[in-house]
Amino acid sequence: MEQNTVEADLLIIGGGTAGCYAAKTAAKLNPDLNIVIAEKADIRRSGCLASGVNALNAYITKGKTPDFYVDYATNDADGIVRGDLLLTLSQRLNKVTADLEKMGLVILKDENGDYVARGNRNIKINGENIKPLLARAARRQRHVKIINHVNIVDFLVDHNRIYGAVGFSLLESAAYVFHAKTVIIATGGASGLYKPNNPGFSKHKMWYSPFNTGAGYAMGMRAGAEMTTFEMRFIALRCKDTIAPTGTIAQGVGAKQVNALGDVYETKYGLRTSERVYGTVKENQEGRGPCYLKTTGITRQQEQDLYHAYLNMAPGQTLRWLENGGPREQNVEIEGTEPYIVGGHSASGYWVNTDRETTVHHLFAAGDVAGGAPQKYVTGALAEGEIAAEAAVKQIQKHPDSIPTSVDAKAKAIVKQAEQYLNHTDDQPSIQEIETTMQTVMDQDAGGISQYYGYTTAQLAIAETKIEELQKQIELACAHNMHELMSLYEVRERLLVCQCVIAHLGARKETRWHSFAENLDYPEPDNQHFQKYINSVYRNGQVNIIYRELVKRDEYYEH
Amino acid sequence: MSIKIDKEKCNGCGLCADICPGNLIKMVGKGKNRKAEMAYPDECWGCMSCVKICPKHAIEFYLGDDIGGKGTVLIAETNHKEIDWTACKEGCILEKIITSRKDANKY
Repeated sequence: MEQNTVEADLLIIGGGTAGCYAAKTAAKLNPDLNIVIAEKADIRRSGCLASGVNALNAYITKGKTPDFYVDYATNDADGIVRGDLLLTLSQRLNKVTADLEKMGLVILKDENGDYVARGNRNIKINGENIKPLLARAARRQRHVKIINHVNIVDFLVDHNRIYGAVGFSLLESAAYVFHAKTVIIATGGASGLYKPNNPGFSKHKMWYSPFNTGAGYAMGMRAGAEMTTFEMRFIALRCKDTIAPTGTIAQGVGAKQVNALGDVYETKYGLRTSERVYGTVKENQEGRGPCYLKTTGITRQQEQDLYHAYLNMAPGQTLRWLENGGPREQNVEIEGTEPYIVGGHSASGYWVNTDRETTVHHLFAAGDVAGGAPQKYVTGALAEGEIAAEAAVKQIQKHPDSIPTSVDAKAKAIVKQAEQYLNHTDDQPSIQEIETTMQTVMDQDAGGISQYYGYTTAQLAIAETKIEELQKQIELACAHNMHELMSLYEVRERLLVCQCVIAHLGARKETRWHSFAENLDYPEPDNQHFQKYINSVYRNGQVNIIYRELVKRDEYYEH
Repeated sequence: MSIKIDKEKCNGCGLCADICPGNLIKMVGKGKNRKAEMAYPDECWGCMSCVKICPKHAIEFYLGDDIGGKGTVLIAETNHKEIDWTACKEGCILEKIITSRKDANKY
């Protein structure tokens, strides 16, 4: 396999929301820095914003303060958040929003020129082109080099300090070895761990990007980075079949959640994100399903506005209405998705200090891959990209040192392993079969859709054993081309993330967030023992659990 | 949920293969016969990035029958001002919707 070496001052892995903004920020702070973005697809449409987004859901609206946002996110997660991370992020939400507008994002304004709020924390936009705009902002910086279609598979770490990463091209038989003084990981969260709502042909019609595979988590785990709160899974409440967002219908036309009997149930179970999912689960479990958003009777104009809104973020839903009748005629059926691990919505991800540096020196994390700060959404991911880039730039200026020789030996070993995957000939079981089995195991034994998200200690033990077996199988799997090599790595990463999720679910012996972590052996919250973080470090094949005390919003946390 | 590429309309420019966030579209053939092909139809997220970028409007988006699709396709013609969306069934236009790039969503 051909080998390319790329030198960088700052390597950004993943050119999504946080990654693009980190690149722009770093380039503005120091225009002489050699910055490289390594991206699996093409930064113009990669990551979770590919099809667009309907609103900016994290904004400090008129009369509100950053503390108000921290309070909201803290309450929603019942206290298990990093106050320092939420506050530093909240303080920047409006600044990054103003910057988005300068980049060309259309934001709805009233006659006074103020942004129009949707509720207490959201503003209305035309987000169809938000990702191309972010990509353009990164691309316009003179010293930002973008390498598209290279899938990064492992870090180069020596004595707990990062020196770069290794990846493989999707376009040709080529390896890429990156040497870097500092690295920002911004690869997003993990989808595809659990059996999805539609496991057949439309298996990738899911809430989160199916191409966000948890690679950043897995690379960090293998490098010994500490991770946090993987037991706080995220489950979205979505329109059935199309898995399109429900918030735009609920907030846009004031549609209530009703059960099959027509009873409004949404206030019965509480209004936290997890409780909204749980309510729908319970109504189904107790025989009052299916559940709907009550849209019948909305006006023709409202229906047209919904068609427009969904074309700008989830066009499949508009197509669905056009094919099967619109929301004026029939209520929109809703369901919970399979669970995801995603730090932009729940608190799972890298354990970072207030500057977003991970426990691996010179490795920063931003966006969905970074833990501790749920409800960060798009603007929060931008804020984190900015915070991480500022700290990374300072660090590069302080540490102009060289790369140890052991790093090249590690890079060679990673390339050799890829060549082995490409040379394997035994196709049994295939990468696809291993992935499907993994998703079935997680569904049945680690609280998937079929189990109404609940699990027991005994089930988790079964899941642990089966995932371990699949981890052995994937090492023997065979990749026929560079695309299949990527798929093989994706399943390998997902299996490692599954192992971590199972360990964390078992360690939180309480039920603090219904559905997200529904421990059937411990169905109540236990404030005496579990008002703390569950963290972990992966070592010698084992996930070692660490309990840590809560960090408050006025603290500056250092490792 | 996936896409179909009309080989007659495709000019082989490769923009769709570049933009797909899942690297799911391959270019096959050489010269005038170079065409885009959806290599992994069951791995499509339905983001429509390819549909929007195609200069020949050769890509159609549809819902799989496992999620209630009935054969209607959605195409998009984009320019700097707007996106013109057309839903068609069996060659007949079902609906046309124009979304202006200057308008924010009302919801």
